[in-house]
Amino acid sequence: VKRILIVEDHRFFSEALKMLLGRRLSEAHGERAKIRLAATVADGLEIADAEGPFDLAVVDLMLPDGDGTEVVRSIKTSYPRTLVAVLSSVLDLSGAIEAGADEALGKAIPMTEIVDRLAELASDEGRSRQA
Amino acid sequence: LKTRKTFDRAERSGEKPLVLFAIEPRSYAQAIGGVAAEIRPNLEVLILEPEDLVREAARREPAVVLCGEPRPEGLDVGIRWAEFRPYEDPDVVLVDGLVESFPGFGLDNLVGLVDRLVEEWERRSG
Repeated sequence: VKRILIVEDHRFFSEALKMLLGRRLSEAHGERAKIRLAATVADGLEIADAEGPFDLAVVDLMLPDGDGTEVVRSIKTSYPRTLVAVLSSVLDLSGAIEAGADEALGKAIPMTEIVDRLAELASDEGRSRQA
Repeated sequence: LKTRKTFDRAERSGEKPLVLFAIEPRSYAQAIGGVAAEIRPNLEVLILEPEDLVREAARREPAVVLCGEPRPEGLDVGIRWAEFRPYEDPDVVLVDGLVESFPGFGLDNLVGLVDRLVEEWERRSG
């Protein structure tokens, strides 16, 4: 079972991503997923600390209580093997990469491509390719 | 959530009820519409740019429209029109201009609302 953390404050988006990603992992990679949702930097840090390591963390940058790069940096420091993908409508994602993110995806990318890429990252073959 | 049996009429006629999503931002339309398409294979779901909505709604005769703008004048009043702005006010939907407020409204609830509107559209259209 793949363990995934999604840090995203907009609930419709995070719920939809959770459902689509879980289905894609199952259908395309034959793997099940347990996906946790966090809506703030504080929640993301708390869940990552309490329940980590995750196989994949998907992190938005603009969160109600701060900048998602804080979550990226914390996860990569505590759990270097956790793959972190930033998913944001922010145009310049270079700061997220500098903070240690393995992947940076703009929300303008078609949703099917986002879900495909995240499922690939979370899957066994994606993780071994990334290593 | 409703089951497939609510859509018997459309299935008998060989056509799926059409639902158009033109919510903004577009990433929301893709995410929410993508879920609706996956879990409701008995519906035809199209995700449109907001600027294309009026033309496509007039051309395709959808059952339901979900978008961020009120129904334009002159468009078929039989189309169930739901205004929804998840980024600004995620607990409120205006259905055919009437406010429906749903504290804690979530994705399951939204899909349930689409089911309800399709069902009502089917009853009205005979």
